[in-house]
Amino acid sequence: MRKRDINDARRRGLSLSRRDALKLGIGAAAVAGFPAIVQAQRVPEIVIGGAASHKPWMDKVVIPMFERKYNCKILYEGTRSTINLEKMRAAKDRPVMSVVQMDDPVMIQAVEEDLIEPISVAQVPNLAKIKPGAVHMDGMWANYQQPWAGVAYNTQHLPQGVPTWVSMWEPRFKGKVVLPSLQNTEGPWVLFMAAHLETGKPLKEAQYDIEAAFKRLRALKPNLLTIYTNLPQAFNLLEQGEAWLQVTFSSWALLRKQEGSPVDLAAPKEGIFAMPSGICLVKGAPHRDLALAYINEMLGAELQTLLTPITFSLPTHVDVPLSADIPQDIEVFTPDWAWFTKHRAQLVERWDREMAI
Amino acid sequence: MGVTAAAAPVGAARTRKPRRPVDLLVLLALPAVGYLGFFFALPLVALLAKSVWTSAGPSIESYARFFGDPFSWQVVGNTLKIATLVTLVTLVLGYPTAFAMARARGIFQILLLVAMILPLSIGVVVKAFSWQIVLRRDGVVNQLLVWSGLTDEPVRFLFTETGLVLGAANIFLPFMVLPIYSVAKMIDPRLTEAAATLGAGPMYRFFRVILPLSMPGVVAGIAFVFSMAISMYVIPTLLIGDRYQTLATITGRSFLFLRNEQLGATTAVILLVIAVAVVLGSARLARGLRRTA
Amino acid sequence: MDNYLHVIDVSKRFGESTVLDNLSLVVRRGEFVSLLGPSGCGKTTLLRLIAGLLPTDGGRIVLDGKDLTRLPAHRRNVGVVFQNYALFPHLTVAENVAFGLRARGVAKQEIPAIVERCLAMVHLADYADRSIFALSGGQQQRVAVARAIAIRPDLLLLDEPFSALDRKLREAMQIELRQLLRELGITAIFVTHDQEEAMIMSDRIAVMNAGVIEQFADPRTVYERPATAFALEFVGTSTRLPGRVSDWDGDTVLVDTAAGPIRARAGYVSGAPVMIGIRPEKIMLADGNEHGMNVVRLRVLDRVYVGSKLLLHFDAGSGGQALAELNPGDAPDVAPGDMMSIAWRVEDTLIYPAVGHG
Repeated sequence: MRKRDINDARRRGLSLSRRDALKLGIGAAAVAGFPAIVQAQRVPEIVIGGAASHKPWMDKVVIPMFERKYNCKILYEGTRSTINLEKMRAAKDRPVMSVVQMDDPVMIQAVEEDLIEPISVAQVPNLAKIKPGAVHMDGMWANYQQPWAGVAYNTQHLPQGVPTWVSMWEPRFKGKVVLPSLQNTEGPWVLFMAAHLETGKPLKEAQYDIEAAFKRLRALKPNLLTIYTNLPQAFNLLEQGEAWLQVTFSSWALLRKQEGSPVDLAAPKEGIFAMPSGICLVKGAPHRDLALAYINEMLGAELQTLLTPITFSLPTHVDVPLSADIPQDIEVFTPDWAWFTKHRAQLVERWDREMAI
Repeated sequence: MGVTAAAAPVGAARTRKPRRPVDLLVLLALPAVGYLGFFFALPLVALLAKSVWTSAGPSIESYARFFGDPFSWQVVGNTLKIATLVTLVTLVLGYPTAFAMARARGIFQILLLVAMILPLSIGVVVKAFSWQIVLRRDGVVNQLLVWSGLTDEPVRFLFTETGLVLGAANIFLPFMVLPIYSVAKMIDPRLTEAAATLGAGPMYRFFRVILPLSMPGVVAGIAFVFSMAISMYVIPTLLIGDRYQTLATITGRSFLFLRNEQLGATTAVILLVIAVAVVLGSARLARGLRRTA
Repeated sequence: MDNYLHVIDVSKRFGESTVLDNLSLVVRRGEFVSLLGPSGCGKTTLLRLIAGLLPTDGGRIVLDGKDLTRLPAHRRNVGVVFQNYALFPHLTVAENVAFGLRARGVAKQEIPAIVERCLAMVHLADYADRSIFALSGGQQQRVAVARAIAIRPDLLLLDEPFSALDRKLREAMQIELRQLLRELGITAIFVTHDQEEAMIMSDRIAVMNAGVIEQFADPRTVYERPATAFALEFVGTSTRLPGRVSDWDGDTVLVDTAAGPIRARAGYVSGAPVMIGIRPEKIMLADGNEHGMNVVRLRVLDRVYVGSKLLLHFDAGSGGQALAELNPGDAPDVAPGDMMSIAWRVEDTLIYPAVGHG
């Protein structure tokens, strides 16, 4: 048992938080006969929240590297973005997590609820080397990588993939197209692209033209097999050949390809989308120095060079080259998340009506 | 002889039992009542309060807005339609199954029971995946349809109402079968024999003896399946996707995604009212049927 | 009375075991017949075959010239009163009685009168609208009878209908039911394992054992002249003494038993193992004038006074016992341990070939 914890507890009027209790418990267990754990408990431990699907590369690359370099312990709690948000809200007065990795739209909600605090170049030097558009709301959060979204296809039915987003509307794909729900982070892409195709304007302008987007999307309805919220289940349709085309992103589709599924991800000529994998500092984070160091590493060239090839993502550090299997020379579009988040409820309601069976 | 088990009619035993004072026995229900009261009734009240509470005090504005929107009616319609169809399918499939189980003996009864209960241990997500395989364009159902010549080309089942009803009915079937089974098991087989010796043919025996006597099980089954089907969330999410909204999916999304707790509370309360009304209504209807049988 | 029901060479097997083997039975019109036997003898199976609740594995069942063998139960017009009554719990008393009438499509306006009449016959006219749960066991039994006779069955089958009633009620119901069926002229077959009940109720009794009818006769014959050792043993009480034929003279044999030599009217060869039987009321105290009678001298084991009669138990040797039923005044001073001479007529001596060790 560590003296400091007990002192902390005294200062707080002996009201043990759950985390303290957990630590005390672990400490007690350690004293009872696990010298190795006692050793481990001597080093500081920080809690990182993130996506469950990120756990493999966190365990393999990030955590060992950081723990060795900073002589600390990382506890990675992988779950869904909305759950992470809920956990931050619940522990607002005494945060448990120091750093959270989640998608930009959820970041905006976290900012609105005053759950995270901005970082600066002084605290996180690598912030200066992040490419434009990947640092948000004056440093509230930054993107540590950008998986890219395109049109995934079944290679048995479509060995060549599709050259353009327009292909999705072709009659030969009747009942064979799968879209993500607008509730999913990868959901808005098709909305923006539909607006672009309908208006002919650049994505940057077209993204606000919701009428045009839904007009084009209505025409896609005969081709739709389903609109999913559960990605693994929906992707299974593509892998089995029931669906031929599916709008989705690289860190999932290319991972499945690498694992042997007959799928690939096309980067159509109109452009691809940068998925917003953000990292932020929790307001009042425990072990603040370690937390900032961690964020700095995630934004740094060393980790991104290791990470982006295995997550099939675009790096955000300007010095890190694109890995070989990432489409070159294709426009990567980052939308106006603030506008989207603001209108999200309306858009979802509209989507329900327009896209209903 | 093997067929002369001396058993008094069900009710005879019931009437002979002396009336016990119930006050002490009620205590036995206290833990469950307390549990439900604290973890179910109270949150329910909170939910109701949330749906009518606005910054300007209590108001039914949220309900007015919901029912003023034609799309809401479509959602309510979807919800009722699917729940009704699922209940009907499970009833039609489950009723004979329950009686087969009740009349089966020895190893067959055990096998049937296991076959009915074991699938409950398989997660909904796994089942949904399996249905996806079965209902595929090149899945078993379509192969059978095309092979038998019923259709010329594969029929689209996945992510249709039909697919959802089939999948949900499969998942809820045990909840229809088990209550009917437990009632059917209690029905003295001699009652149908008595009816036969009185000149009642098979149909008459079924409609005048078996059906009215099994009604409590049927009502329980309908109540179980309907209330689960009307509020199912994961199953439609997986089997029909985002293009088919029900009260449950709207509620879930309002809380989890849109963070519009008032809308979520409103749809949740509406869902609850419909479910309770249908369950109570079917129980009343069944009592009426019993009386006129 | 003409022959009405013919059960011809009927067999029934359940799996490997044969419950009924080529059984035949003829019942006359209006007759009340009991199937009497221990449980497992096949009597209820026979009843169910006649009712059509079980298919036969061979043989025919003909009722009033009509072959019922292949008819389902609901086309036979054979009423059944079940052991547990099998009343419909979801129906009132009147609805139970009306059930068969409705099922047969009797005109709606005729039903209430028939129901009322049938309930009146079983003295339940005031109970028409009650739930069957509100009735006593005896009342439920009457409803079951009313329900069965409401359809005017060609034949009424009763499966131990009194077994759930207490003794007093049972005796009253037995007399009442017998009278009711006589008045209605209904031919009835009655299954029971209670020999007293069979005696009270029946015109004829079929004593069944192991799927075979051992004797089919009127109650008096069954009692006084049991056709087999089983019938002797199952019906009433008796003294049974094993022995061996030692001499043979015209129509009389002399049998050596542990109680002494006993004569009986029969034709057995010398050395044949036999069973001697005597009904207790045939035995009297020997008074020195025993011409044409068997006399044995035995030790009294017990003396039981039951009001109308006095029962004496004797040691019949080799562990066997003899039982005599006397008028209480006949042996006022007898005490256990006394030696007494008892006598009975040679004509009243029953004799059967010995079966196994019996």
